[in-house]
Amino acid sequence: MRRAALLLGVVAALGCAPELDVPSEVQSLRVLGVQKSKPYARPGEAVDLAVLWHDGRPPELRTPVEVAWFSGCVNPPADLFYGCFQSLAEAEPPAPGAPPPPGFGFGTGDTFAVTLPADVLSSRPPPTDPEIVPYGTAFVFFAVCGGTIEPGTAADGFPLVCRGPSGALLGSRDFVAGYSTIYAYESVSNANPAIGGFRFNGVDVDTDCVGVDCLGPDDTDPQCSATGATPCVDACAADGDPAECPGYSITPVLDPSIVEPDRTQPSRGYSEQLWIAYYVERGSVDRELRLVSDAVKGWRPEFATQLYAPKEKGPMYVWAVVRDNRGGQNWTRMKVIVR
Amino acid sequence: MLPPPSFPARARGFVRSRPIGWLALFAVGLGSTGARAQEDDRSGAVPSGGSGAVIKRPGDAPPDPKKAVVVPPKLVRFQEAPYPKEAQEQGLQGSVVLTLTIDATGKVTAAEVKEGAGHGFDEAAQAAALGFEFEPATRDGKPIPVKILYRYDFTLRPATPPPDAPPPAPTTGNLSGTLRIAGAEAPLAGAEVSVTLPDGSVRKVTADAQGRWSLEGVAPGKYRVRVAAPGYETTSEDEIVAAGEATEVVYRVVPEAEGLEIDVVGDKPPREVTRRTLERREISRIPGTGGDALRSIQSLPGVARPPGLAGLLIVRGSAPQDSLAFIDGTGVPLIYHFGGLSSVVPTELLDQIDFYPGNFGVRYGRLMGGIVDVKLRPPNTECRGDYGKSKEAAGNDCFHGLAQLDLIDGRLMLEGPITDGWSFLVAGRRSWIDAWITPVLEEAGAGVTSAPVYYDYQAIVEAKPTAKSRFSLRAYGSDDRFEILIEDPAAQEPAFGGNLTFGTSFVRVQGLYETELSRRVSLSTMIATGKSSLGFSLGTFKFEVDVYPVDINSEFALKAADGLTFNAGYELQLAPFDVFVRAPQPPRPGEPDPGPFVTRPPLETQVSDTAFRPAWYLDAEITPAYGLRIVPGFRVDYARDTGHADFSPRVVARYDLVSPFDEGDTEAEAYAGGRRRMRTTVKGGVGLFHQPPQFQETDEVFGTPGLRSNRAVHYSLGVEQELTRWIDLSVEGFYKDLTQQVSRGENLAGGFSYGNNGLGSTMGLETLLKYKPDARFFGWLAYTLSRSVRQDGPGEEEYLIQFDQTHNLTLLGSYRLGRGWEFGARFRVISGGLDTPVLAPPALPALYAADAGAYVPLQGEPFSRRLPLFHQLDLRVDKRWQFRQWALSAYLDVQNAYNNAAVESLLYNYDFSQSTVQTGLPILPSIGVRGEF
Repeated sequence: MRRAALLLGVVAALGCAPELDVPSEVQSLRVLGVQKSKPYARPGEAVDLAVLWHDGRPPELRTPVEVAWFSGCVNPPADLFYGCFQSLAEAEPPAPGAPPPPGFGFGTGDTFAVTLPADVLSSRPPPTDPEIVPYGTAFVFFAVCGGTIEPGTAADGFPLVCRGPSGALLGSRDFVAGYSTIYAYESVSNANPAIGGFRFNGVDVDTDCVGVDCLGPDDTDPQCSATGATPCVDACAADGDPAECPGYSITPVLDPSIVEPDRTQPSRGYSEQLWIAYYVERGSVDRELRLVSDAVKGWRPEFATQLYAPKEKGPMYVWAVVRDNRGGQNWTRMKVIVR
Repeated sequence: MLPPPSFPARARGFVRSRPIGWLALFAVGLGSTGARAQEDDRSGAVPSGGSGAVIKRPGDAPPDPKKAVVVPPKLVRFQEAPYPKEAQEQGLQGSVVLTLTIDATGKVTAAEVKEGAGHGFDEAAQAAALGFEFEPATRDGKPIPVKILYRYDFTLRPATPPPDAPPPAPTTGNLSGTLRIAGAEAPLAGAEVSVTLPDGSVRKVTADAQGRWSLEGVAPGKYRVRVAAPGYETTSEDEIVAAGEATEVVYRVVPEAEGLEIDVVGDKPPREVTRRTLERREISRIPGTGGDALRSIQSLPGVARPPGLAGLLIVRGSAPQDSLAFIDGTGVPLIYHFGGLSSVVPTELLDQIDFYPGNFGVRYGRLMGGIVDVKLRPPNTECRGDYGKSKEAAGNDCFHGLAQLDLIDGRLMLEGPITDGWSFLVAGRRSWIDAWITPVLEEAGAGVTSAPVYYDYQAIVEAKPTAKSRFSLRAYGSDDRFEILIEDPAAQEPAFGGNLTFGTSFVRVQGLYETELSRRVSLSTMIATGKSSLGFSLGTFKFEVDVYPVDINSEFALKAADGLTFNAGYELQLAPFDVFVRAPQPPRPGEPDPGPFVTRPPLETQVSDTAFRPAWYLDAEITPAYGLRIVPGFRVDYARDTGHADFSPRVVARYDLVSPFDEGDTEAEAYAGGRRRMRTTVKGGVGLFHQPPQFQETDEVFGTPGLRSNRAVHYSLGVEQELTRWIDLSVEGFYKDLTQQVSRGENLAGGFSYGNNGLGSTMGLETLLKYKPDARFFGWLAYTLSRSVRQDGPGEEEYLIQFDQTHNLTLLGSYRLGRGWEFGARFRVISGGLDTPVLAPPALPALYAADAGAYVPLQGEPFSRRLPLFHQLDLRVDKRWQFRQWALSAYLDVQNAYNNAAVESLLYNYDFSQSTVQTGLPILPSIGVRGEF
């Protein structure tokens, strides 16, 4: 983040600005990713979604977390998310306990299933350029709340709100709302990038999980071992300061074969663009987003980052979320023992 | 020219001066043709605020069949300058060429150094010249004010001869001279020079091939010199020859066809309500611009400060794409290199910059904002002697060169003669920002494939086939490009990662021909062709445009009668182009944030076509009554790409509520008689302007075919008031009514489409209090009050445009301290930029776009929050050292001298729950050095 901000600053040729919270340090209720079983699906196909979230709030402030989903927005104007809110507002709200109106879906929990309408392609005008592969869009919205989820109003900016035990509306440290887009193609597919685990200081280590297996906490209690299967680091009094703490190289294990060609446009020759977002529960990383594969230049093997240990001892989570620019994503998680 | 060594110097032994050919000096006042060839540092009035006096000039009034008789001023009281001590101690001699402004009473009111010699010579000569008294110049026997050139020679006394060998007292002197053709500056060979001696006898000599003639060993006394040559006006002058002195004179002989009108103040009245003109001294000395030509425009009323270093031209509340820069009538796709660091044409090549903030004449079209028209100067072949002084006898066939280096770029220029009547200029510039920005980019996580670099180049070949025609062939171009691989994508927009390439370039070959076909008809034609390219790619997004434009402009001017001139023109744009775009649909200003681009499916279009846009226009310059000037006109534009023709009628008028002098009087007579009044002029205009839609708005994939041109009606009303001889005040209100604007909205099919439903308006007030450049100072106070709003359609919500700036105040000045030093300052106070806020708590400020892993802000009213006030002080110091054969100059330009942390924008954290301010550039000193010969 720091480097990206610096680069943005250079390109914009502007001056300096003080630092803000960085996205890689999970210190509030955060959503780290939403995976679809099929980023590109056929009309009428069912798609499963799973949300990876983590409650990074201080333990004394943590409350039970609710997750809600709703779907039913298909081909909004210009395929823009905010075009959905009008159609949602116009829909008749279901009576308590009644099933949702046709075309709409509601759900709770870390996973959600949605079926694309059969006419998701045919219900929209065909592309003006016959070489462009026709596609449709279906938007799925979700809310992750460290309180209670309730319907909202237009002034809230989102159809759902999150209230705390006192009834007050909760803000962005306790409430995350968002959306995921499912693209419908008749014959083009896209797979989520495969991850082979974590590598720590150049050594493959025991990985907690990959993909949907990472939903929920890890109940194991790993210990440091001579084999290095569980990564262990020394606590750093400077609490993750890159200038004071030693760095440890971390990277997910990825294979260049995960890069797929992009066949949705007349001009062929582009491939997917892939990048990694790193997250840590404590401590810090020096490069939060790393390019894995460029659409033109191809595979970039140097996508590791440096982990800097916190001062607080104990196990901590480290995540790597790998995304492509066509809605595909996957993640992996490992525990690092801070001695 | 120094006297022969055998001659001792005059009284006190070290000062000697001669006027540089009286007739020639009038060339300064003859208008551009006569003056341009010799002036390289004119300090004409500017910005003139439309200096709108209705002034008679050659070309404005029909030639008087009875030619006016003009008698030059005569020096009746000479004041000797003390020899500068420093120069005397170092044994230096020098000559200073001064431009003297002599009023109708014969008093010298200003003495400006035109060609300095340094070492204290300039100041001494200036001070002495202000004490001169002249018998005023006359036209038809009536005193008139004039400007003349005057050369003041400083010559050291030879070493005192030993007392035992006194030199013989001289008994004779020399009289010699050089003849030149006024305006062209070419030697006049073969002319007969008749010299009537004090005893009444006549000696005749013929000027040689260099225009030189001489009489040596003549007796002291008053001599009458008469120059006669077929096709030229006969010239007579009285000269004094002193014993032991060499009297050397230069006469610039006027071709018979040229009228001898004298224009002391004012430009030709503009065909627009307001034309602001920046000339070179101002362009190169405005602090905070690095001496850059086009960045100086931002100090004028009506021009907004672009955000950061965006390098945009924002005029009277218009969007940047509504204004355009021209080079001698040819539109160029960009005027600034990277980030507005410098403009694509170096200052050294500019003759002047004309800026039309609105209500411009019918010769300009297809735009509804403002116009910047840059004039390239002709090559300079004037010869100079030691210490930069005029080298009168050496002709007009010398080379000049320049080398300059600053923190951004370096440049070279060479100019000189080719053959008789032809001259050339070549120049080039290359940035060297790659030397320092490449390591910064690499440290920031980018692999630099092609370092950021820009360059530009210019070549000019020019000739004057006749005294009333001019032909110029130019080639110029610009190129900016870089390629980097961003290995750390941005958290808020992962699309900002991967391979980034950027390149803009253009080249133009341009021919310009201007001629007077007769006394009443003139013609100017410009033909230009070349190529413009723009390329950008980032990840899977790509944008490439190649255009091969052919531009033809031709204008006839017909002086039909007294006070009535017609201008008819034809303009053609023929532009084959290739466009390839692969990108998501971009949002338009005022639309909500569409979310991260990275996962949105790109649209793709590839078009090869030819734009064909002819235009015809006609206007009439009418002076129906004394002091009143009306310019009605119309323009018809056709665009084959839209299939529509636009008719744009316009009219502007100016009226002198208080004329500087009465009808039948002349300005000179008014000055002489003490009747010259401070001019008060009211001015106004109304006009219709059309601007075709942009490519992406009419493209089948990205836009909606069949759109019409954007439409604007400009209204303006103002007053110009001379407060003193040097200070003008101009106040002008303006209103722009925008209709038929291209906007975007949801269509019946559930998608977005473009239409001509947009509305808007801009209103404001521009004030300019201007101290016109004199020998030492220029400066102005400019203030603009404005408000610019848009609506996407009738009944839609109105919002301020992104670049709206309510208040814009600029105060600047530059003062010549002497000894080559000049100091300037600019202070600006400007309303902060506009920002679209995110929703405030308890509402969520942003949604998580899970496919990109980034947040998209939930925004409030577009552009509804004003950032803090911008204020900044810029300082500039220049120093020039004049050596025998060349000159060295250096400058220190300090931007943001008191290091104000101006807020340029707001920065948010990853989920838009925290914000801080992005401040602009801190104190930024910049230095540059230049050597020239």
